[in-house]
Amino acid sequence: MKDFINRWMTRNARCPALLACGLRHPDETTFNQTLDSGFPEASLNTSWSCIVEAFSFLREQQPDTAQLCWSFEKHRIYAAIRADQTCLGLITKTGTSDVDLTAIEKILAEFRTLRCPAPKPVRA
Amino acid sequence: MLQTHRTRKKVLFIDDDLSFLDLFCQVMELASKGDWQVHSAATAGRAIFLMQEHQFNLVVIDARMPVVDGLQLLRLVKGKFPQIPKAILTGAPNAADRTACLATGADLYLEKPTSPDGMETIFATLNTLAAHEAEEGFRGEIRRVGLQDVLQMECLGRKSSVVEVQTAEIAGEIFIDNGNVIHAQFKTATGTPALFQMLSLKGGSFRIKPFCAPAEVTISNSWESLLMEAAQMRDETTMVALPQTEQRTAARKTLSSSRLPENTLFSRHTQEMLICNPEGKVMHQVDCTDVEGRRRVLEFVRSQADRLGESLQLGRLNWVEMQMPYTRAVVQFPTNAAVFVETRKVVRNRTAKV
Repeated sequence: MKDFINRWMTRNARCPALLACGLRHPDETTFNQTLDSGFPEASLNTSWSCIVEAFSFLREQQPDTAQLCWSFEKHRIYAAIRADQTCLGLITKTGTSDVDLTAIEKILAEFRTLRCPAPKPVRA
Repeated sequence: MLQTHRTRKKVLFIDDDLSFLDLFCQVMELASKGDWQVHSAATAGRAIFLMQEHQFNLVVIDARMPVVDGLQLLRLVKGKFPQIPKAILTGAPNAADRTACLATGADLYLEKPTSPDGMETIFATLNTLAAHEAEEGFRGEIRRVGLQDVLQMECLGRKSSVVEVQTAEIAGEIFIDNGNVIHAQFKTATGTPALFQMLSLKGGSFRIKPFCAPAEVTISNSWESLLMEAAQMRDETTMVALPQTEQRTAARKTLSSSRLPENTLFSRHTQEMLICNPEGKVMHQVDCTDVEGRRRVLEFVRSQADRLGESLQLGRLNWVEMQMPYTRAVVQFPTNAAVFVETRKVVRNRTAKV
Protein backbone atom coordinates (compact mmCIF):
# COMPACT_ATOMS: atom_id res chain seq x y z
CA MET A 1 0.00 0.00 0.00
CA LYS A 2 2.89 2.34 0.81
CA ASP A 3 4.37 2.05 -2.66
CA PHE A 4 0.96 2.47 -4.20
CA ILE A 5 0.32 5.74 -2.33
CA ASN A 6 3.84 6.98 -3.06
CA ARG A 7 3.26 6.34 -6.76
CA TRP A 8 -0.12 7.99 -6.56
CA MET A 9 1.42 11.11 -5.04
CA THR A 10 4.15 11.25 -7.68
CA ARG A 11 1.53 11.09 -10.40
CA ASN A 12 -1.33 13.07 -8.91
CA ALA A 13 -0.07 15.60 -6.36
CA ARG A 14 0.41 18.28 -8.96
CA CYS A 15 -1.09 21.71 -9.06
CA PRO A 16 0.04 25.27 -9.78
CA ALA A 17 2.09 27.00 -7.07
CA LEU A 18 2.76 23.75 -5.21
CA LEU A 19 6.20 24.05 -3.62
CA ALA A 20 6.51 20.73 -1.83
CA CYS A 21 4.48 17.74 -0.84
CA GLY A 22 5.06 14.66 1.23
CA LEU A 23 3.64 11.55 2.80
CA ARG A 24 4.12 10.18 6.26
CA HIS A 25 3.19 6.54 6.59
CA PRO A 26 1.97 4.81 9.75
CA ASP A 27 5.42 3.20 10.13
CA GLU A 28 6.85 6.76 10.28
CA THR A 29 8.64 6.49 6.95
CA THR A 30 8.25 9.46 4.65
CA PHE A 31 8.20 10.20 0.95
CA ASN A 32 8.75 13.78 -0.20
CA GLN A 33 8.76 15.77 -3.40
CA THR A 34 10.15 19.28 -3.42
CA LEU A 35 9.94 21.86 -6.16
CA ASP A 36 11.65 24.54 -4.11
CA SER A 37 15.07 24.38 -2.47
CA GLY A 38 13.71 26.10 0.63
CA PHE A 39 12.19 22.86 1.85
CA PRO A 40 14.92 20.38 2.82
CA GLU A 41 13.95 16.77 3.42
CA ALA A 42 14.73 16.85 7.14
CA SER A 43 12.54 19.93 7.71
CA LEU A 44 9.70 18.39 5.75
CA ASN A 45 9.91 15.20 7.81
CA THR A 46 9.76 17.23 11.04
CA SER A 47 6.74 19.07 9.68
CA TRP A 48 4.83 15.93 8.70
CA SER A 49 5.55 14.55 12.15
CA CYS A 50 4.08 17.74 13.70
CA ILE A 51 1.02 17.48 11.52
CA VAL A 52 0.39 13.82 12.34
CA GLU A 53 0.64 14.75 16.03
CA ALA A 54 -1.82 17.55 15.40
CA PHE A 55 -4.31 15.20 13.74
CA SER A 56 -3.93 12.77 16.59
CA PHE A 57 -4.53 15.46 19.22
CA LEU A 58 -7.34 17.22 17.39
CA ARG A 59 -9.16 13.98 16.70
CA GLU A 60 -9.44 13.46 20.44
CA GLN A 61 -11.33 16.76 20.55
CA GLN A 62 -12.98 16.64 17.11
CA PRO A 63 -13.13 12.99 16.07
CA ASP A 64 -14.03 13.70 12.42
CA THR A 65 -11.15 16.06 11.69
CA ALA A 66 -10.20 15.09 8.17
CA GLN A 67 -8.31 18.05 6.80
CA LEU A 68 -6.18 20.82 8.19
CA CYS A 69 -4.94 24.02 6.67
CA TRP A 70 -2.15 25.91 8.43
CA SER A 71 -1.91 29.38 7.01
CA PHE A 72 1.36 31.12 7.80
CA GLU A 73 2.65 34.48 6.70
CA LYS A 74 4.67 33.05 3.81
CA HIS A 75 3.33 29.58 3.14
CA ARG A 76 0.28 27.47 3.63
CA ILE A 77 0.24 23.79 4.51
CA TYR A 78 -2.75 21.68 3.50
CA ALA A 79 -2.92 18.28 5.13
CA ALA A 80 -5.22 15.28 5.12
CA ILE A 81 -5.10 11.99 6.96
CA ARG A 82 -6.47 8.63 5.93
CA ALA A 83 -8.18 6.06 8.10
CA ASP A 84 -4.96 4.01 8.00
CA GLN A 85 -3.13 7.07 9.47
CA THR A 86 -1.16 7.90 6.33
CA CYS A 87 -0.79 11.65 6.16
CA LEU A 88 -0.39 13.85 3.09
CA GLY A 89 0.94 17.40 3.24
CA LEU A 90 0.99 20.01 0.48
CA ILE A 91 2.87 23.30 0.77
CA THR A 92 1.98 26.35 -1.29
CA LYS A 93 2.69 30.05 -1.10
CA THR A 94 0.31 32.23 0.89
CA GLY A 95 -1.60 35.07 -0.71
CA THR A 96 -1.00 34.21 -4.33
CA SER A 97 -3.72 33.82 -6.89
CA ASP A 98 -1.69 31.05 -8.57
CA VAL A 99 -2.85 28.53 -5.99
CA ASP A 100 -5.59 26.36 -7.42
CA LEU A 101 -7.69 25.52 -4.43
CA THR A 102 -9.98 23.26 -6.42
CA ALA A 103 -7.02 21.13 -7.42
CA ILE A 104 -5.81 21.00 -3.83
CA GLU A 105 -9.21 20.02 -2.48
CA LYS A 106 -9.42 17.34 -5.17
CA ILE A 107 -6.00 15.92 -4.30
CA LEU A 108 -6.83 15.82 -0.58
CA ALA A 109 -10.25 14.26 -1.15
CA GLU A 110 -8.83 11.65 -3.52
CA PHE A 111 -6.01 10.83 -1.11
CA ARG A 112 -8.43 10.20 1.75
CA THR A 113 -10.55 7.79 -0.28
CA LEU A 114 -7.72 6.13 -2.19
CA ARG A 115 -7.93 2.33 -2.33
CA CYS A 116 -5.20 -0.02 -3.38
CA PRO A 117 -6.48 -2.03 -6.36
CA ALA A 118 -6.74 -5.75 -5.74
CA PRO A 119 -3.88 -7.67 -7.37
CA LYS A 120 -4.77 -9.18 -10.73
CA PRO A 121 -5.19 -12.97 -10.60
CA VAL A 122 -2.19 -14.76 -12.02
CA ARG A 123 -3.04 -17.03 -14.94
CA ALA A 124 -1.83 -20.55 -14.59
CA MET B 1 5.26 71.34 -2.21
CA LEU B 2 4.59 70.43 1.37
CA GLN B 3 0.96 70.76 2.28
CA THR B 4 -0.25 71.16 5.82
CA HIS B 5 -3.66 70.09 6.97
CA ARG B 6 -5.31 72.33 9.53
CA THR B 7 -8.17 71.07 11.67
CA ARG B 8 -10.48 73.74 13.04
CA LYS B 9 -11.30 73.49 16.71
CA LYS B 10 -14.96 73.35 17.52
CA VAL B 11 -15.93 75.58 20.43
CA LEU B 12 -19.37 75.93 21.99
CA PHE B 13 -20.45 78.98 23.97
CA ILE B 14 -23.54 78.75 26.18
CA ASP B 15 -25.10 81.93 27.56
CA ASP B 16 -28.68 83.16 27.97
CA ASP B 17 -27.56 86.76 27.36
CA LEU B 18 -27.99 86.80 23.59
CA SER B 19 -26.40 90.18 22.96
CA PHE B 20 -23.25 89.20 24.89
CA LEU B 21 -23.26 85.73 23.29
CA ASP B 22 -23.43 87.14 19.78
CA LEU B 23 -20.68 89.69 20.37
CA PHE B 24 -18.46 87.26 22.27
CA CYS B 25 -18.76 84.58 19.57
CA GLN B 26 -17.85 87.06 16.84
CA VAL B 27 -14.83 88.36 18.75
CA MET B 28 -13.56 84.86 19.56
CA GLU B 29 -13.98 83.70 15.97
CA LEU B 30 -12.07 86.74 14.72
CA ALA B 31 -9.35 86.29 17.32
CA SER B 32 -8.90 82.68 16.29
CA LYS B 33 -8.14 83.77 12.72
CA GLY B 34 -10.19 80.91 11.36
CA ASP B 35 -8.81 78.28 13.75
CA TRP B 36 -12.08 78.02 15.63
CA GLN B 37 -15.48 76.97 14.42
CA VAL B 38 -17.71 78.72 16.92
CA HIS B 39 -21.16 77.42 17.89
CA SER B 40 -23.53 79.01 20.36
CA ALA B 41 -26.50 77.99 22.46
CA ALA B 42 -28.78 80.12 24.61
CA THR B 43 -30.20 77.21 26.62
CA ALA B 44 -28.91 74.05 28.23
CA GLY B 45 -31.18 71.92 26.03
CA ARG B 46 -29.81 73.40 22.83
CA ALA B 47 -26.27 72.97 24.16
CA ILE B 48 -26.78 69.26 24.88
CA PHE B 49 -28.30 68.79 21.43
CA LEU B 50 -25.30 70.44 19.78
CA MET B 51 -22.88 68.37 21.84
CA GLN B 52 -24.57 65.21 20.59
CA GLU B 53 -24.26 66.45 17.02
CA HIS B 54 -20.67 67.70 17.12
CA GLN B 55 -17.44 66.72 18.76
CA PHE B 56 -16.37 69.89 20.51
CA ASN B 57 -12.86 70.73 21.60
CA LEU B 58 -14.10 73.13 24.22
CA VAL B 59 -17.36 74.11 25.91
CA VAL B 60 -17.69 77.50 27.64
CA ILE B 61 -20.66 77.87 30.01
CA ASP B 62 -22.12 81.00 31.56
CA ALA B 63 -22.40 80.53 35.30
CA ARG B 64 -25.74 82.23 35.74
CA MET B 65 -28.55 81.06 33.53
CA PRO B 66 -32.25 80.53 34.23
CA VAL B 67 -33.81 77.04 34.55
CA VAL B 68 -30.55 75.11 34.36
CA ASP B 69 -27.71 77.17 35.77
CA GLY B 70 -24.06 76.91 34.81
CA LEU B 71 -23.12 74.54 37.60
CA GLN B 72 -25.96 72.14 36.83
CA LEU B 73 -25.13 72.19 33.12
CA LEU B 74 -21.48 71.64 33.95
CA ARG B 75 -22.44 68.56 35.94
CA LEU B 76 -24.55 67.28 33.04
CA VAL B 77 -21.77 67.88 30.51
CA LYS B 78 -19.20 66.23 32.75
CA GLY B 79 -21.37 63.11 33.07
CA LYS B 80 -22.30 62.85 29.42
CA PHE B 81 -19.18 64.18 27.71
CA PRO B 82 -16.36 63.77 30.23
CA GLN B 83 -13.67 64.09 27.57
CA ILE B 84 -14.57 67.65 26.53
CA PRO B 85 -12.62 70.47 28.25
CA LYS B 86 -14.99 72.85 30.04
CA ALA B 87 -14.71 76.47 31.12
CA ILE B 88 -17.06 78.61 33.21
CA LEU B 89 -17.52 82.25 32.37
CA THR B 90 -19.12 84.53 34.93
CA GLY B 91 -19.96 88.20 35.29
CA ALA B 92 -19.84 87.99 39.11
CA PRO B 93 -16.98 85.79 40.19
CA ASN B 94 -16.73 84.62 43.80
CA ALA B 95 -14.64 82.13 45.71
CA ALA B 96 -17.49 79.75 46.59
CA ASP B 97 -18.67 79.51 42.96
CA ARG B 98 -15.14 79.03 41.76
CA THR B 99 -14.53 76.16 44.19
CA ALA B 100 -17.83 74.51 43.28
CA CYS B 101 -17.24 74.81 39.53
CA LEU B 102 -13.69 73.50 39.65
CA ALA B 103 -14.81 70.64 41.91
CA THR B 104 -17.58 69.78 39.43
CA GLY B 105 -15.17 69.39 36.54
CA ALA B 106 -14.54 72.85 35.12
CA ASP B 107 -11.02 73.26 33.82
CA LEU B 108 -11.20 77.06 34.05
CA TYR B 109 -13.25 79.59 35.98
CA LEU B 110 -13.01 82.96 34.21
CA GLU B 111 -14.50 86.40 34.59
CA LYS B 112 -16.41 87.77 31.62
CA PRO B 113 -14.19 90.25 29.78
CA THR B 114 -15.21 93.87 29.59
CA SER B 115 -12.38 95.30 27.49
CA PRO B 116 -10.61 94.39 24.24
CA ASP B 117 -7.52 93.39 26.23
CA GLY B 118 -9.66 91.18 28.43
CA MET B 119 -11.11 89.53 25.30
CA GLU B 120 -7.60 88.78 24.04
CA THR B 121 -6.58 87.30 27.38
CA ILE B 122 -9.72 85.16 27.51
CA PHE B 123 -9.14 83.98 23.95
CA ALA B 124 -5.53 83.03 24.65
CA THR B 125 -6.54 81.11 27.79
CA LEU B 126 -9.43 79.29 26.11
CA ASN B 127 -7.35 78.54 23.04
CA THR B 128 -4.73 76.85 25.22
CA LEU B 129 -7.43 74.77 26.87
CA ALA B 130 -9.01 73.85 23.51
CA ALA B 131 -5.64 72.65 22.27
CA HIS B 132 -5.35 70.15 25.10
CA GLU B 133 -6.06 66.55 24.33
CA ALA B 134 -9.07 66.01 26.48
CA GLU B 135 -9.22 62.26 26.64
CA GLU B 136 -7.52 60.39 29.41
CA GLY B 137 -4.86 57.89 28.54
CA PHE B 138 -1.96 57.91 26.12
CA ARG B 139 -1.79 59.99 23.05
CA GLY B 140 0.19 58.88 20.05
CA GLU B 141 0.17 57.41 16.63
CA ILE B 142 -0.39 53.79 15.82
CA ARG B 143 0.85 52.46 12.53
CA ARG B 144 0.33 49.07 10.92
CA VAL B 145 -2.71 48.42 13.04
CA GLY B 146 -5.73 46.76 11.52
CA LEU B 147 -9.21 48.13 11.96
CA GLN B 148 -10.16 44.76 13.43
CA ASP B 149 -7.57 45.33 16.19
CA VAL B 150 -9.17 48.66 17.00
CA LEU B 151 -12.64 47.12 17.13
CA GLN B 152 -11.42 44.25 19.23
CA MET B 153 -9.82 46.67 21.68
CA GLU B 154 -13.03 48.68 22.00
CA CYS B 155 -15.28 45.62 22.27
CA LEU B 156 -13.12 43.69 24.71
CA GLY B 157 -12.99 46.80 26.89
CA ARG B 158 -16.79 46.96 26.67
CA LYS B 159 -16.54 50.57 25.57
CA SER B 160 -19.09 52.82 23.94
CA SER B 161 -17.69 54.81 21.06
CA VAL B 162 -17.97 55.67 17.40
CA VAL B 163 -15.01 54.55 15.31
CA GLU B 164 -14.69 56.89 12.37
CA VAL B 165 -12.92 55.28 9.43
CA GLN B 166 -11.45 57.47 6.76
CA THR B 167 -9.93 56.61 3.39
CA ALA B 168 -8.75 59.09 0.79
CA GLU B 169 -12.27 59.56 -0.57
CA ILE B 170 -14.76 57.98 1.79
CA ALA B 171 -15.59 58.07 5.48
CA GLY B 172 -17.55 55.53 7.45
CA GLU B 173 -18.60 54.99 11.03
CA ILE B 174 -18.87 52.00 13.33
CA PHE B 175 -21.03 52.42 16.42
CA ILE B 176 -20.04 50.42 19.50
CA ASP B 177 -22.36 50.38 22.49
CA ASN B 178 -21.04 48.81 25.67
CA GLY B 179 -18.75 46.48 23.73
CA ASN B 180 -21.32 45.53 21.07
CA VAL B 181 -21.13 46.64 17.46
CA ILE B 182 -24.64 47.96 16.85
CA HIS B 183 -24.43 49.90 13.61
CA ALA B 184 -22.11 50.69 10.72
CA GLN B 185 -22.38 52.93 7.72
CA PHE B 186 -20.04 53.20 4.77
CA LYS B 187 -20.81 54.76 1.41
CA THR B 188 -24.44 53.89 0.82
CA ALA B 189 -24.29 50.64 2.79
CA THR B 190 -25.37 50.15 6.38
CA GLY B 191 -25.21 47.23 8.82
CA THR B 192 -22.94 44.22 8.31
CA PRO B 193 -22.25 44.92 4.60
CA ALA B 194 -20.92 48.35 5.57
CA LEU B 195 -18.86 46.85 8.40
CA PHE B 196 -17.36 44.17 6.15
CA GLN B 197 -16.54 46.75 3.50
CA MET B 198 -14.64 48.80 6.06
CA LEU B 199 -12.89 45.73 7.48
CA SER B 200 -11.73 44.80 3.99
CA LEU B 201 -10.06 48.18 3.42
CA LYS B 202 -6.33 47.89 2.79
CA GLY B 203 -5.56 51.07 4.67
CA GLY B 204 -6.83 54.38 5.94
CA SER B 205 -7.09 56.19 9.22
CA PHE B 206 -9.41 55.92 12.17
CA ARG B 207 -10.55 58.13 15.00
CA ILE B 208 -12.39 57.05 18.10
CA LYS B 209 -15.13 59.50 18.92
CA PRO B 210 -17.44 59.66 21.93
CA PHE B 211 -20.48 57.44 21.57
CA CYS B 212 -23.69 58.89 20.26
CA ALA B 213 -26.71 56.75 19.50
CA PRO B 214 -27.10 55.92 15.79
CA ALA B 215 -30.32 56.65 13.94
CA GLU B 216 -30.94 52.90 13.75
CA VAL B 217 -29.52 49.67 15.13
CA THR B 218 -28.59 47.46 12.19
CA ILE B 219 -26.21 44.89 13.70
CA SER B 220 -27.04 42.33 16.35
CA ASN B 221 -24.34 39.66 15.81
CA SER B 222 -21.62 39.26 18.40
CA TRP B 223 -18.47 41.22 17.57
CA GLU B 224 -16.43 38.02 17.69
CA SER B 225 -18.46 36.35 14.97
CA LEU B 226 -18.42 39.55 12.89
CA LEU B 227 -14.63 39.79 13.07
CA MET B 228 -14.19 36.10 12.33
CA GLU B 229 -16.50 36.29 9.35
CA ALA B 230 -14.68 39.36 8.07
CA ALA B 231 -11.33 37.58 8.53
CA GLN B 232 -12.58 34.55 6.64
CA MET B 233 -13.88 36.73 3.83
CA ARG B 234 -10.58 38.55 3.66
CA ASP B 235 -8.58 35.34 3.64
CA GLU B 236 -10.72 33.86 0.93
CA THR B 237 -10.36 37.01 -1.14
CA THR B 238 -6.59 37.10 -0.89
CA MET B 239 -6.15 33.36 -1.16
CA VAL B 240 -8.01 32.83 -4.34
CA ALA B 241 -8.33 35.05 -7.38
CA LEU B 242 -11.79 35.98 -8.48
CA PRO B 243 -12.21 33.48 -11.33
CA GLN B 244 -11.50 30.67 -8.91
CA THR B 245 -14.41 31.54 -6.64
CA GLU B 246 -16.66 29.40 -8.76
CA GLN B 247 -14.08 26.66 -8.68
CA ARG B 248 -14.04 26.79 -4.88
CA THR B 249 -17.79 26.39 -4.78
CA ALA B 250 -17.50 23.47 -7.14
CA ALA B 251 -14.79 21.94 -4.98
CA ARG B 252 -16.92 22.26 -1.88
CA LYS B 253 -19.74 20.55 -3.69
CA THR B 254 -17.38 17.78 -4.77
CA LEU B 255 -16.24 17.23 -1.21
CA SER B 256 -19.73 17.35 0.22
CA SER B 257 -21.46 15.23 -2.35
CA SER B 258 -20.19 11.96 -0.96
CA ARG B 259 -21.68 12.66 2.46
CA LEU B 260 -24.75 14.76 1.90
CA PRO B 261 -27.84 14.54 -0.26
CA GLU B 262 -27.58 16.40 -3.55
CA ASN B 263 -30.72 18.40 -3.11
CA THR B 264 -29.45 20.58 -0.30
CA LEU B 265 -28.46 24.14 0.31
CA PHE B 266 -25.84 25.17 2.82
CA SER B 267 -25.23 28.12 4.99
CA ARG B 268 -22.78 28.48 7.86
CA HIS B 269 -23.80 29.28 11.38
CA THR B 270 -21.42 29.97 14.19
CA GLN B 271 -21.78 27.13 16.62
CA GLU B 272 -19.36 28.08 19.35
CA MET B 273 -16.60 30.51 20.10
CA LEU B 274 -13.87 30.89 22.68
CA ILE B 275 -11.43 33.75 23.22
CA CYS B 276 -8.48 33.43 25.56
CA ASN B 277 -5.73 35.83 26.49
CA PRO B 278 -2.08 34.92 25.76
CA GLU B 279 -1.82 33.23 29.18
CA GLY B 280 -4.68 30.91 28.29
CA LYS B 281 -7.21 32.57 30.56
CA VAL B 282 -10.73 32.49 29.12
CA MET B 283 -11.84 36.02 28.29
CA HIS B 284 -15.07 35.34 26.45
CA GLN B 285 -17.02 32.34 25.26
CA VAL B 286 -20.22 31.75 23.34
CA ASP B 287 -22.00 28.39 23.51
CA CYS B 288 -18.74 26.58 24.11
CA THR B 289 -19.61 23.08 25.26
CA ASP B 290 -16.08 22.13 26.31
CA VAL B 291 -14.18 25.25 27.29
CA GLU B 292 -11.21 23.33 28.72
CA GLY B 293 -10.98 21.14 25.60
CA ARG B 294 -11.05 24.13 23.26
CA ARG B 295 -8.50 25.93 25.42
CA ARG B 296 -6.22 22.91 25.07
CA VAL B 297 -6.74 23.00 21.28
CA LEU B 298 -5.63 26.63 21.20
CA GLU B 299 -2.55 25.89 23.28
CA PHE B 300 -1.68 22.84 21.23
CA VAL B 301 -2.14 24.54 17.87
CA ARG B 302 0.03 27.44 18.99
CA SER B 303 2.85 25.15 20.09
CA GLN B 304 2.64 23.03 16.92
CA ALA B 305 2.58 26.19 14.80
CA ASP B 306 5.77 27.34 16.48
CA ARG B 307 7.42 24.01 15.65
CA LEU B 308 6.17 24.05 12.07
CA GLY B 309 7.11 27.66 11.51
CA GLU B 310 10.56 27.04 12.89
CA SER B 311 11.35 23.94 10.85
CA LEU B 312 10.20 25.38 7.52
CA GLN B 313 10.61 29.15 8.13
CA LEU B 314 7.00 29.78 7.27
CA GLY B 315 6.62 33.11 9.07
CA ARG B 316 3.95 34.08 11.56
CA LEU B 317 0.86 31.91 11.85
CA ASN B 318 -2.30 33.55 10.49
CA TRP B 319 -4.85 30.85 11.17
CA VAL B 320 -5.48 27.13 11.22
CA GLU B 321 -8.60 25.59 9.74
CA MET B 322 -9.92 22.17 10.70
CA GLN B 323 -12.42 20.60 8.37
CA MET B 324 -14.95 18.08 9.55
CA PRO B 325 -17.77 16.67 7.41
CA TYR B 326 -20.43 19.00 8.78
CA THR B 327 -18.42 21.57 10.68
CA ARG B 328 -15.37 23.70 10.31
CA ALA B 329 -13.27 25.16 13.10
CA VAL B 330 -10.86 28.04 12.76
CA VAL B 331 -8.16 28.99 15.23
CA GLN B 332 -6.57 32.42 15.10
CA PHE B 333 -4.06 34.28 17.21
CA PRO B 334 -4.62 38.00 16.84
CA THR B 335 -2.58 40.34 19.05
CA ASN B 336 -3.05 39.46 22.72
CA ALA B 337 -5.70 36.82 22.12
CA ALA B 338 -6.34 33.29 20.94
CA VAL B 339 -9.64 32.64 19.21
CA PHE B 340 -11.45 29.38 18.48
CA VAL B 341 -14.58 29.48 16.30
CA GLU B 342 -16.56 26.53 15.06
CA THR B 343 -19.14 26.95 12.33
CA ARG B 344 -21.72 24.41 11.32
CA LYS B 345 -23.05 23.73 7.86
CA VAL B 346 -26.77 24.16 8.08
CA VAL B 347 -28.37 21.80 5.64
CA ARG B 348 -31.68 22.83 4.19
CA ASN B 349 -33.67 20.79 1.71
CA ARG B 350 -34.03 22.77 -1.49
CA THR B 351 -37.58 21.67 -1.99
CA ALA B 352 -38.64 22.49 1.55
CA LYS B 353 -40.78 25.54 2.12
CA VAL B 354 -38.87 28.29 3.87
